[in-house]
Amino acid sequence: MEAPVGGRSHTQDRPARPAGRPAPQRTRRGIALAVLGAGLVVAGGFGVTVGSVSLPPGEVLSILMSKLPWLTTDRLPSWPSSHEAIVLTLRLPRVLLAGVVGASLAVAGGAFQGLFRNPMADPYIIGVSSGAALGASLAIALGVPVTVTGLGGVPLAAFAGAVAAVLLVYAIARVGREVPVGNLLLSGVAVGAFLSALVSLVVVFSRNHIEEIVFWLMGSLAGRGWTHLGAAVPYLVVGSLILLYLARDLNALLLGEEEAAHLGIDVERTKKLILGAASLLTAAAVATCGVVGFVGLVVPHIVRLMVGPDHRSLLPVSAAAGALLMILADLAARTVIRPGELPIGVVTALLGGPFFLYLLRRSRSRVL
Amino acid sequence: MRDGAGLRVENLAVGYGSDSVLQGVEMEVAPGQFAGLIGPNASGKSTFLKAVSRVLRPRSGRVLAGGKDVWRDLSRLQAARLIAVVPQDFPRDFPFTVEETVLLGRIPFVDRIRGERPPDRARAWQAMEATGTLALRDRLFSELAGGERQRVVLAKALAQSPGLLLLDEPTSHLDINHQVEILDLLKRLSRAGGVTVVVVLHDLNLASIYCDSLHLLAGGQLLAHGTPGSVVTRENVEAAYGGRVIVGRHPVHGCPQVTLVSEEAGDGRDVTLATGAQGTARAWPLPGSFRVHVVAGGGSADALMRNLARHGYPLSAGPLNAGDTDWQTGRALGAELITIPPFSAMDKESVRRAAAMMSEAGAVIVAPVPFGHGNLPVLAAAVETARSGTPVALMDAGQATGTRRDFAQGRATALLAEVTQLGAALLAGPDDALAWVRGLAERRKGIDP
Repeated sequence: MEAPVGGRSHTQDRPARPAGRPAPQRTRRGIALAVLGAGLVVAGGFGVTVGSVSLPPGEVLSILMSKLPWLTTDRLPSWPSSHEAIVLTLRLPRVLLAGVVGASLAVAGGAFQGLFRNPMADPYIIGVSSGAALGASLAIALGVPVTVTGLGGVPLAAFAGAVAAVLLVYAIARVGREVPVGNLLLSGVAVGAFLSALVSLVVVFSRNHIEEIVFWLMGSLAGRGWTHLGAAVPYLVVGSLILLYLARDLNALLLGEEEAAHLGIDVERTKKLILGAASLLTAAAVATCGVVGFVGLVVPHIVRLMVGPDHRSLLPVSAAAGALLMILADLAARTVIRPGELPIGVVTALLGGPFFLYLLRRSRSRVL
Repeated sequence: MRDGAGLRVENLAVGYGSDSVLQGVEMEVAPGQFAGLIGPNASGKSTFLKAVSRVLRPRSGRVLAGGKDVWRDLSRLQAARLIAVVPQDFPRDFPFTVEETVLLGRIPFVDRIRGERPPDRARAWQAMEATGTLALRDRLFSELAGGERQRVVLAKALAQSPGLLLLDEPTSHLDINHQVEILDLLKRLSRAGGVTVVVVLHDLNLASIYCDSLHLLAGGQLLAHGTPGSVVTRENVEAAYGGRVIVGRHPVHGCPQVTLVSEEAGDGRDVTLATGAQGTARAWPLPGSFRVHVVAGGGSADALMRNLARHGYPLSAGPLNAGDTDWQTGRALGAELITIPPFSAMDKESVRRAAAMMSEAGAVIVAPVPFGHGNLPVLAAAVETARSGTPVALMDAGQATGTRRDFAQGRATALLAEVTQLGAALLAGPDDALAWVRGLAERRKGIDP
């Protein structure tokens, strides 16, 4: 496949694109965001309507509208107060939390894949999930009675465990003022394996809590409400914004760290920021709903196949796609075996895996 | 494009940890110049580029680009707006399209929230035009062939609108045609755009063809710098790289060209070499140690000169007519030549210079060349040299005393007879000549060590 060689001949064979026209890449990002946005509205609608008790969509709409401060609600029909409670205290926060957690995991996954230049990277690559799992399983096994602003001991312990694990990995990987990504990857894997072994030990020694721990490990949104949402959202929003702000630097880092430095980027500082933001995002997500796998690994890959590898498109579109996948997965988790619930991590893998493989086969292109 | 930014490096020392890589390196490259950095592996070339491109902080010394100290006066971003780098290794599987890749060069200029503006895209477009990659713009970088890839990497660096362009072996993965293509492109850019180019090159011959100035690093120090003619000499190349080389002239461009000499390979003659053929490694004489002056012409000394050069003996020859076969051979072998215009007789000045050259030579060999009035004076000079004690030999003894060579009414025959009487050696062929020279050189070494 030899292409034309030589400097001058093939510059005239196509008319110049006007410099003002947006690059096709941005157009694709716009389309993807519009489609996913519409999908989010529809999926969110199903999320609050469908469940163990199915409510009429019109009634749900009325309940939601009644809470909008700038609308007069006099002419809305009435509804049972139990329905209002189902929509407003059970389903709505759960749908919102699913969306925010899905978006966070997807953005963190995309950022880690870019930072490590490794398609196998996911939000849990540097030990966040193992640390959180250890914290949560200890809290469950020991029955920590602490409650801070309505949050139970488990999410707090999980968050603390996640942050501690990342700090440990970071400390091990650091060489002077630099943090080589190869070191991070390896120490992340090693620390993760070690912590997972500790989790197994906890499980073994607390047999009467096995089911609870295992369910937490598989991830679930059951019983999460406004308190969880309120606690997690600040981290998730700030972390995502930092990563979106650094999207361009992630592009440069794909060229290699030295090349990024040639483009005027403070590589070590940028790496630390990305690492910190993505870890906090992941820690907050895991603390609220357990270890939901696959979203952070697969969503960025699916999005890359749709809009390309530019992080300025990849990260925002991943956020939307991650939110959509998570809302749909949660919907499936709580409706498929009504009145029981499936762990959401199982559903994300069941939904996302085959779809990703289908895309991969169809495009036959490289993943990263 | 902006004007070229000159580079000035003062007393630079760079190291990693406890290892020192560069010490006391000085360099001056004028704006718009095309400078080459050469030297063996691990001599510190890439490290030098890192210190200049503000990636690796020097231990001491200064790096001034466009008059500004890149480490003290310029921020990271300001340096990136002035200096672009084409790295040695660029990820082959880089997942962006060509245009997206080139646009990355605009990062130092682009507001991170607003993204690229039309002028940025115009600049990237220009860079693709200059490198002939415009037609590739929607292709994936990872799907390009090697030469195309390298042009795209160059376009990305040009999109940075640099005043100083640093390249680390930009041609090392390319075929010879693509090597020339890239270097021609760089040469045009430095000439037309005024970009100052500093390029690390592995290939000494390409370096001496293209570069205005060369800087030779060896063992972390600057061994030589200046024009290619003054830097690429046998002395410098053998001192920096080791090995056995002959430095001749490029037949077209006239710049130095390095030829490697193998101990094991043949020499293109049917005759097996009497020496070396048995695999006994002979010493390679020090450059400039024992020069042999050859009186030749018309190809009579071709095999002789090649055989001596092959074994490391520096040569001089002449006067020779420009374009003569022996003149060409001597030029390719890096012999010091006294050149006279084609088809003209030897002038007095050239003969005087040849006589001086012969008297300073370790030995003089008269090849089996016919003598007429035009070249008789050099034979007379050879006789004078023999009289003053310098060893002189006549090649092809069978004909040396014959009359067939004499087109000067017997005067050549007389001079040949005279030199024979003065004790000139009679040599049968190139191998005989080599043995004679080697004997003299070894005896000389025994006398004054």
